[in-house]
Amino acid sequence: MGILLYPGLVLNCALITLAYGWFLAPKLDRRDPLAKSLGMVAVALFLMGIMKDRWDTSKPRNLHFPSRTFTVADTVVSTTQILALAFALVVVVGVNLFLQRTSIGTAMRAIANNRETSALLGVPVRRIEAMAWFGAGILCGCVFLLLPSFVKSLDQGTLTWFVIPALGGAIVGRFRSLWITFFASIVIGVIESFLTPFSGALQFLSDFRRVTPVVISVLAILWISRRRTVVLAGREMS
Amino acid sequence: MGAIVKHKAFEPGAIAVIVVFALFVAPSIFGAFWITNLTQMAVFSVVAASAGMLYGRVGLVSLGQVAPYGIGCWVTMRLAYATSLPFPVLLLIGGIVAAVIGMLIGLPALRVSGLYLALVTLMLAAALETVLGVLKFPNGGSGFSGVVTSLSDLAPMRRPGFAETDPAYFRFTVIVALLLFLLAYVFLAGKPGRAWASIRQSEPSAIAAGIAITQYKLIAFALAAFMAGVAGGLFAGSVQQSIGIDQFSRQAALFLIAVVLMGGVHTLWGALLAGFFSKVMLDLLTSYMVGGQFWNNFSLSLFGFGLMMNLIQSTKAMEKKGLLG
Repeated sequence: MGILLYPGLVLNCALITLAYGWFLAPKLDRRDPLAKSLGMVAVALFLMGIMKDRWDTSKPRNLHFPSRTFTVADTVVSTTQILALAFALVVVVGVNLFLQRTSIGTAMRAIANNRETSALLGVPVRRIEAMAWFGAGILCGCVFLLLPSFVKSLDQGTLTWFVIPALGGAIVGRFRSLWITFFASIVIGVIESFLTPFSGALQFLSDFRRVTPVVISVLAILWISRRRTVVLAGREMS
Repeated sequence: MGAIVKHKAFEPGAIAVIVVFALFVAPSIFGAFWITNLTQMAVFSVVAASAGMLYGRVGLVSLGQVAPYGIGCWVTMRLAYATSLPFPVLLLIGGIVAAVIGMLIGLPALRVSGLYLALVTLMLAAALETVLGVLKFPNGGSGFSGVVTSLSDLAPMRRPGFAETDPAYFRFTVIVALLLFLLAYVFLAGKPGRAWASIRQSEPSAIAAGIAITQYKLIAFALAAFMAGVAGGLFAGSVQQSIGIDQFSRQAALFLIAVVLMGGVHTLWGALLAGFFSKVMLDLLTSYMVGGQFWNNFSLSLFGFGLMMNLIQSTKAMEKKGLLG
C-alpha cells in the first residue's frame, strides 16, 4: 500500500481529468475558451460537493511527503521545497521539449492554434486532447502530493482554491510561455514571503501579503494590454 | 400556451401576479423559515441579475460579482453600527460605495475580455475574501471599527423601523428588489442597453459605430456593482447576526456564476430563477423530497451538474442556430 499510494493518487487525478477530456470536453469543443473554462468550474463544483460530503473535517488529515531539513545561510530549507522547485523546472523544460520535439506535442500546438484546420489535416483531435487532459491530470496529481507539506490545514477548500493564486503566474505568462509563468510564479512567491515578517506600523503588509498574486497579475495585465485590444471571433487582436 | 406567453400583456401580468403574491399572500401563508428563505431569494435575485446583466447583455464575464455584494453588505453594517442614518439611506450608501469600487475594479478589467476578465475578477473576489478576513469581517463592535471577539456578542444588524418583523422585512426587500430590477430595465431599454448589445455583438463594430465602449462598459460595471451592493445591504438586514465571510468567498463566486447560467442570462427572469435555485430549491428538496439531507450534502455537486448540463444544452442550441463556427 505504501509504495502504491503515491502513484495511485497521481493516477486517480489523471483518470478524472482524462474522463472529463474524453466524455465532457468534446461537447464544448466548439465554444470559446471562457465557456470551456466554465465547464471545468462545473466539474470543480461537482467534485467539491462529493469531497464536502466525504471529507470528515473532525478528523484532521495530512499527507506529508518524506522530507528532511537543513540550514543554508540561516534559512531552514526542506528537501520537499528543493524537490518542488526542481519539479517545476523539470516540468517547464520537459513540457517545452515535448511540445517542440514530439509529434504529439506538435499536434497539441496545432490544435491550440486552430482546431478545425488541424482536424482537416488529419490530426486526431479528440485523442490528442484527451492525452493533454491526461498529462495535465498527472502534473496536478504530482503537485498535490507535494503541496500538503506546505499548508497547515488540509481540507478540500484549501487544496481546491490553491489554483487561484497560482493563476497569477499563468496570467503573467498569458497562458503562452511556460518560462514566464515559472519565473512570475517564483517572483510572486518570493515577494509574498518577503512581506511575511513585517510588524508594527507595517503589519498591514504582512496581513495583506496573500493579495500579492492579484496585484502582480493586475499590474501585468495593465502592462501587457497597454494597447487597446479587441476581440474578433474569439481571437484577441491588437 | 405559447401564444399566451408571447402575448405582450403576459410579462407585465406575470410581474403583477408575482408582486401581489410576494407582498400580500406569501407573508400570511408561510412561516418564519420560508419567509427568511424567500427574503434571501429576492436578495440573491438582484445579485444574479447584476452578474447576468454583465454577461448576457454586455458580454463581460465577472466571476467577482460577490465582491461588490460583500462590500455593500459590509458598508451597510458598519454604518448601521456607527450611525443612526435611516436604513434606506444606508442601503443607498452601500450601493454607491460598491459602485465606486466596482468601477475601480472595472478599470483594469476594461483592458481584457473573455477568459482573462473572468480570471482577473475571480482573483479579485479571492482578494476580497483575504481583505475581509484580515479586517475581521463583520466586526460587529460599536462605531466604524469596533470588533467583537465572540459571535455571541455580535450586535444584531438593525432593520428599518417600519420593517422590523420578518414578514415586513420580506415585503421591504421585495419592493427594493423590484426597484433595482426596474433600474436595470430602464438602462437595458435605453441608450446604454443598445450600446451594450452592440458591444456584446462585436467590439470593433461598436467602435466603428462611434460607441464609447470604455464609457459604456464602466457604466455596466458601476450599475452591476450598485445593484449587488444594495443587495448586500439587504442581505445584512435579513440575516442580522449569522453572517460570515463564507457568503462572499471564492466558492460563493463560482456558485453565483453557476446559478446565474442555470437561470439564464438573457432576461431578468433568469435572475429570479437563479435566486430560486440558490435559496429555495435546496430547502424544498431537503424538506419534501426523498433523500432529504442527501440534497443538502451534495448541493455543490447538484449545481456543478446543472451548470454542465446548461453549457452542453446551450452549445447544442447554438449549433442548431448555426452560431458556432
